[in-house]
Amino acid sequence: MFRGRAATWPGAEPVLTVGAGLLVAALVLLPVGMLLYTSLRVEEFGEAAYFSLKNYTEFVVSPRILRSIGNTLIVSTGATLLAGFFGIGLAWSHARTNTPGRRILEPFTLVPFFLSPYVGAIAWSYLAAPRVGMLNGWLRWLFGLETDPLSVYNRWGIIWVLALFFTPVMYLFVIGSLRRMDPALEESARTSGSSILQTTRRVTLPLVTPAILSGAILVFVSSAGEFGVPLALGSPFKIETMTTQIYNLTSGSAIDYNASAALSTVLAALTLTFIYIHRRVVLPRGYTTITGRGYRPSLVALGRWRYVALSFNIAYLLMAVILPLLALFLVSISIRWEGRFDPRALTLANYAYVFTYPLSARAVWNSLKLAIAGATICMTLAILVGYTIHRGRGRGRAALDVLSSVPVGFPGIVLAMGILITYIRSPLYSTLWILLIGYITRYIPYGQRMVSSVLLALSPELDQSSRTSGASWITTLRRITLPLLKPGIVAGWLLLFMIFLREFPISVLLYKGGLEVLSVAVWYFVEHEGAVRTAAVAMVQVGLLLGAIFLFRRLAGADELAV
Amino acid sequence: MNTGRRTGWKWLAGPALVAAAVTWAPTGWAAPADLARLIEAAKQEGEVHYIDALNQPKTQALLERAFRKKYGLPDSFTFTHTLRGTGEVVATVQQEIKAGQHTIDLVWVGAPAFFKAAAKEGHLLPYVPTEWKRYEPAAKRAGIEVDPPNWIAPAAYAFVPVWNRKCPGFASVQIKRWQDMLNPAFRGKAQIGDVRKSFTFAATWAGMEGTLGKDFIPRYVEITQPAIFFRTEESLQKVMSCEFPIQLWQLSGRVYQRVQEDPTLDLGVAWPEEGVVLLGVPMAILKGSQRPNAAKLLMEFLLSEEGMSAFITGEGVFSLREGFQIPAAVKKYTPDIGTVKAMPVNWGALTIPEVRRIQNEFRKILRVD
Amino acid sequence: MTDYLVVDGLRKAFGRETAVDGISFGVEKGKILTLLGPSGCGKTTTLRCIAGLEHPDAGAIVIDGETMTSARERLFVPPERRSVGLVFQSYAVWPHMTVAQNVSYPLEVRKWPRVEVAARVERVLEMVGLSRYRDQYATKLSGGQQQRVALARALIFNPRLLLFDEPLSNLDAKLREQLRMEIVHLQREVGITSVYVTHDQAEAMVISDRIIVMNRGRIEQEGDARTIYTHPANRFVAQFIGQANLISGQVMEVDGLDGSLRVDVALGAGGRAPLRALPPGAGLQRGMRVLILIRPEDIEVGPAGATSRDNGLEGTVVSAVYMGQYLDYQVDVAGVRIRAQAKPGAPYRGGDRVALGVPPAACFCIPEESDGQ
Repeated sequence: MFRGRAATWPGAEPVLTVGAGLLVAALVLLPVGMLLYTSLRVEEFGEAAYFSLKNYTEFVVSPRILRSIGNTLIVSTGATLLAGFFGIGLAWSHARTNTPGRRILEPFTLVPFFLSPYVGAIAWSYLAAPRVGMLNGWLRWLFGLETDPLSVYNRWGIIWVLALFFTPVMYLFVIGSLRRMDPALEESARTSGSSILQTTRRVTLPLVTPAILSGAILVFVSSAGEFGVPLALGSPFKIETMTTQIYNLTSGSAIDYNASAALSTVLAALTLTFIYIHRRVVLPRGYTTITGRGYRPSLVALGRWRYVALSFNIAYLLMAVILPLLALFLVSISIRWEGRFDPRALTLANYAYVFTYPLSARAVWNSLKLAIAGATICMTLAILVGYTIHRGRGRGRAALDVLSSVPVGFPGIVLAMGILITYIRSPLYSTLWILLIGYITRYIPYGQRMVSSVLLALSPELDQSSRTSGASWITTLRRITLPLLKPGIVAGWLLLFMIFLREFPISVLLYKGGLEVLSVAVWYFVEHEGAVRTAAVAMVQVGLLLGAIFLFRRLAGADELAV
Repeated sequence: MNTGRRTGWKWLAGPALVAAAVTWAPTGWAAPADLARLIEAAKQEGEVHYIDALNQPKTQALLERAFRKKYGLPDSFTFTHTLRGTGEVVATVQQEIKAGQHTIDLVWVGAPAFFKAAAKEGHLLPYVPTEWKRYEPAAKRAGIEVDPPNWIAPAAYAFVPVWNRKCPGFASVQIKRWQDMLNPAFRGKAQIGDVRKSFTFAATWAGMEGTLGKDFIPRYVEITQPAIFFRTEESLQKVMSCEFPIQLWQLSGRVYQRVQEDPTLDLGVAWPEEGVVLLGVPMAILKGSQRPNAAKLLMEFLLSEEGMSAFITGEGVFSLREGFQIPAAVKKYTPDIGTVKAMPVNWGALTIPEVRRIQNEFRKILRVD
Repeated sequence: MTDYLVVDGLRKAFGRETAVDGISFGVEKGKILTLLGPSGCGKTTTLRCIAGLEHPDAGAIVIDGETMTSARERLFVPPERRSVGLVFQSYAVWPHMTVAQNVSYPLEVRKWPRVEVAARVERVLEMVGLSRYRDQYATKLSGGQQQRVALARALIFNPRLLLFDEPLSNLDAKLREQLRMEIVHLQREVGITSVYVTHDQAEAMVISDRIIVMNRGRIEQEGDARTIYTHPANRFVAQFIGQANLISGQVMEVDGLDGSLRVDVALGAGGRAPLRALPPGAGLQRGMRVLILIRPEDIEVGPAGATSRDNGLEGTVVSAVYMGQYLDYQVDVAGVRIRAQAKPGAPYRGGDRVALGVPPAACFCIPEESDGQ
């Protein structure tokens, strides 16, 4: 392969694509490398540092850390099973049955995907905490109970909230697979004489299995990496997970970055293993059942059972969206919170406080600034990287593809650890830039995927015909490629905007006084300001996210919700 | 490389100490002329940033107003405050020292072990504020450790039992002695502070073990099965909401603050007969501070009549200032430090490794990871 | 006179796969050349190298005396500076632009004055018959209309060279024939030098001044349509172009008078039969192994026993399919399957014995040595 002379080759393409490639490589490799390096060091305050495997051979395998690893595995498995039950049930009822109202229910099923699980956990503590949980109050009153029937302050509570919030992930995988399936596969089973339920069990389910496995692995990995939910529901009640332990080692008086880095490395290894299994074992098993024809698959007539299916749908929406948001709202307009909503003691003072108290007021602005700048920079990089991977001709394309998807395997708190120790000595530390870098590094794969999926569907000949029409690379990018990518760019930008608006683990590890963002404000209010003001600041975040979802549907269309 | 630099510092620290002693020892306080020079230098520096584990935003607002007024600081002067837990304050400052990235000028936190280590390493800027002499006698009486000119401690607090009389079953609760906390009726409704994350909880643990015996806390844990909270603000909210209506360790000043906001609250505060662990709150300027004059001025202010008054009005803890008039509203919850019985604590033995040991002990007894 | 387009020693590999294996050819000014071959033969890669969309590993491409690509000189002119119009199989019409916007794009990026652009777009759209669709979004049009948009877009800036990459493959048969004729007319009218890539031999024959048959990255044969059909250079070309009966045999005798050969043809079960055939040129000698090509439409089918003519073979009808214009026979001649297409006048059925008559002029000998396989 040879390149043209400088005189005949416009410089924009190599400069931009190679530049973006190198930037992404540096963003990803630096923190990952530093994490590994730090995990192999022992650095006590005031003593000489040295290399050692001690962090692994002594700390990670100590009983208390092993118990935390065990808790992570337990809650992730539980959440995966429960989210599987909800997700498969909902997807099947929407795609393959005559459940009434399924068209209306469908978009709402996805709402939890865009909300913050951390806020969800707080909301559920208002619902089902001992003594002060609203649901507990109702149930006590309804059945005349002496004690509280519910508590979310245990492994079950963590599993419950994780499952509710990750159900849409499972749902998206399964409903996508059901929708893409060639109806002829089911029809031929029917004409072969099997009943519709037999067909569902013998033909439909096996065909959907790879999608279920994909969803399950993603739910498991997301649950294992989730930080806010165990922080809210586990940590104060003696249940530590890997993520809360990583955090404890960076925040308490027993601060130990080396041990924290080692535990982070172990958690990353766990999630990367699952993602590797997914790519190597599950994806190749995926059946190609796509047809171009738009035949509608035949629906299962559920008879009277369709009301059961409807109740199932409504029950999920109640648990995942309506009740938590209602609880947040009611608490946020209460003067004080003692477990019972008192309609005679209402106030807007909590909101006034949120917008006037410097920390929360600046958190709103910081979050908006970071979300807008982060989404814009991330999508710009994603466009250049996606373009290089799918349209470029350089050698590093495969490596870039891997690099720009690797951060998916790193839970937010793990990557934040790496970023903290990488940039702590740089002038970026203690500025909004370090949060921005954290957000971009962690979520560049999302942007890249959004761009790549559109690029893959677009024929490269659309670009090439512009080149042969006489347009340079940069003109082609501006007039042809970017306009064609617009749906993907808009959808990707909005998705990242929402993710950054609710981002918690990276922010809480990297923020300093003055750099608070919304989730950090929620966390700070939990620790300093009590229930009613916490609910108000959480409602501000929820309001912004719901507004963004509305925009998303208007701008990107309902289909783009399926990420 | 590191060790080389460190010896270098030590080598410098000696003469610096001597210089400091020569400057401050003869007069003992800054003459008005010196103060004027300090104010001018602070204005030049334009900013000061302190970190602590106590001061609520309201207190900070009081302090800021008084600080600006007392020295006529311009609006362009920035007064920054970071509030973190004791452990986090220490961690943050250690991190800045390690990275050589100093955003913080003054640190004020109840972790004497950290100040001792930092002084030994030469990370503190020696300075004795003019009015320190008004504080020294009370500190000595209460057994509170200080090490001027490296670090001083102008205030103190203690963790005491607090409960909510409005919660079902708590209307008639009386706590006279620590032993009264060992009540099976509190099972599932009580709290304990998170010793894993806090120096001050760990010190309180050590002091109580000395006076009440090693089995007191294990029995409290066994009988009440307490939930663990770290921030005193959060845990008091849980008391107020009746989620966990009683707790072993709360700051009386926090109760005072909440009652100021909402007089309908009915919270009980106990000062047990066996005594309490008095925790001094040390204060020091960091050697790496980019704004040493502003930091010195802030320290002068915090120990002044005006500064101390704003601080105590805000936080409701003990002042060690001689002849300080405690506001009546504070006195309802935090008595004069002279009337409080102090549990003896061997502060010298409470090194960082010892704190770690206590924290592991806590993990074992509470069965937490 | 040197060719307007010269491709010299072009080589291009994708990883270990060699797509184009050192090919050279030229196209005269104003002529249309077709690269014909099965998929994967390297024809599209060759075309994309000419357009500048691929970087060749070796070789040179010269348009109108100006070197566009030269591996030796490390020279590569990017596609936008080659002035080459390219019509893709996928149309590659931009969905976010109207017909007029698509067509005017090449002029806009060349910064033509707006008035001239409008006038020229009008003229070109008229030429391809799309004037009334000018403000519609291009992808709302039918496939044939989209391809006309693509053609107009490739023509509008008066390129030095017009390239077609299987432009008709996505269209249905009727439309394909119609558009094929339009392309021929347009090309002649504009007089633009063109290279046309297709796997459809009928299309190649209608369109081309010259045809290059490609296989596995190499040129198998170059020539006009008639030569390639009647005088294929090897087995591959014979089989790829039209339908062919290929029977192997050995030259028995070279007739000195008319140069015709007598060839001993091997039949199944050890049987042999003599055939008279025409040689591909001089140089065939007695004893050489050859392939005899007989096109099915050249075979006469008659009743058994009437084998008095030249090159008579007798066999049994295996199948006879009525195709409208002709009857398609499969005849078993002593174990060798021969296909014949005869006038539907003589309706034999499966099992009937028939005589096949092949005029010597229709028997074309291909030496086995030059068999490209």
